[in-house]
Amino acid sequence: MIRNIKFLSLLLVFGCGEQEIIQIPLQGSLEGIVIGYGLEPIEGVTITIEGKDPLIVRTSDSNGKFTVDDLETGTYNLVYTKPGYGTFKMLGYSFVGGSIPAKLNTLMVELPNVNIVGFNAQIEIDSYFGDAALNGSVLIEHLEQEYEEGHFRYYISNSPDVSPTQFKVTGLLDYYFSDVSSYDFSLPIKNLFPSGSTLYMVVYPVRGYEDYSYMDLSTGKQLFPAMNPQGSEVLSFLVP
Amino acid sequence: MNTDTMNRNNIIHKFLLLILIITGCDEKEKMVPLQGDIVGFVSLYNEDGSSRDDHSNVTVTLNEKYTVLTNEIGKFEFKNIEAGTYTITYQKEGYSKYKKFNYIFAGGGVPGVLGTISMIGVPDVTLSNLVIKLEGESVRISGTLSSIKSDHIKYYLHQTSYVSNIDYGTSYSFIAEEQEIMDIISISGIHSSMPIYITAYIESKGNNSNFNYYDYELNSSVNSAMTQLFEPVQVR
Repeated sequence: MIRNIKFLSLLLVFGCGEQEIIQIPLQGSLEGIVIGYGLEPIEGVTITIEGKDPLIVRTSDSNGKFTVDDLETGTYNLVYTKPGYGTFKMLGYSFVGGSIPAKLNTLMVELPNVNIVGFNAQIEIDSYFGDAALNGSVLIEHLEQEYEEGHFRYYISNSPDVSPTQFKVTGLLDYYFSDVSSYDFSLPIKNLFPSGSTLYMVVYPVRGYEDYSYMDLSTGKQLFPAMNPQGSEVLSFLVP
Repeated sequence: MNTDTMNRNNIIHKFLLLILIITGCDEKEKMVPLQGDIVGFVSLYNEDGSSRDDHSNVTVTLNEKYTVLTNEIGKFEFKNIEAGTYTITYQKEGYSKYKKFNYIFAGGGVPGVLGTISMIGVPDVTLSNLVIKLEGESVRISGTLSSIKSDHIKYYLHQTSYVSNIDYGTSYSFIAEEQEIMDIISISGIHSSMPIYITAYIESKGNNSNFNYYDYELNSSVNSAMTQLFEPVQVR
């Protein structure tokens, strides 16, 4: 008994050290809709939600909808995949929760049905302004008969391993359409690279608007989801 | 041990137990909000607008409380930050400033993402032999620039001595083609009873709206891609 009293006293004096308790997070619902450019719902998209263990996985229904109930407050990555479409990622989505569901609309864009079969370019100096430009052309083949439009995205680097994830400069060259297979371009490169350096350039067909992208969190580069995984051959140039 | 002692001990025991139950450990518990990491990127540009290869050593501050530096690719990372609303300040000597307001961070298992912001080198230019003269309804400004690699000079006019590129009444842009400048500004539109103060800045050659941010404390859009050439001077 005495021992018990001593133990309790000890507990009263020392037993209540400061304890860190993580707040119980709020919960709430997340309602997502997956749509295409014509606002048409896209069914059968797998949505993987990273941020809690285990991962939450949903599939969009015939209305393009998916719902996550009892989702805890937190930061989440949402990864949208469907065969034939570019994989889209929404990284660092802040979800607070509460009584009203959070709504999230996401665009999914089909991969291009064109291949680049020819690419040539050379650096030319504008005779009037004296500025350097990359002038050339891109040749494509259409893999499907149905109407399709997209654009060509170029990547330029100082290194021969230039790709959509390793580059210094990127931008759009031109739009492509179903009924045309050859495209000319002129790209000013004033200020971009010092004289005497070697440039490497590659071109990829891509669909979706210019800002349809997400950031690669390891490099900080913007990735364009609806891009043909196969690009043109890499060309090199000496800056005059 | 006699019965009295046992009873007394029993009472003490129960009393202590009661205190323990009443007070418990609740008062000593510290509530800690959700925590998590935040990542972001900074893109640095040279004064002429060309992209730099090295994006390191930008000081990034969260709510004036946590500070980190960017690495060579411009990446920065805050670890174990509590959920909350944040203002992020980006600074590097010789570059335009940037601030991001109202970033809501929920904490959790994957990092919050701040995206990429842009900062540009500001001109390393000074002005000497400054002369400002009021001639009727014009202000005549002359002086010598230390170099002319940046060519846009902006004058800001206001009726108070704290006139700046953020707080001003009217502004005028001139292109400096030589180191010697001689600019004339008409003040005929400003009422003659008003005092007039003037200050001037030289702008980064590659400046554009990518370097703007909205400052919720100043309630104003800010572009700091410029170097002040002289402190406000009263001209009338």
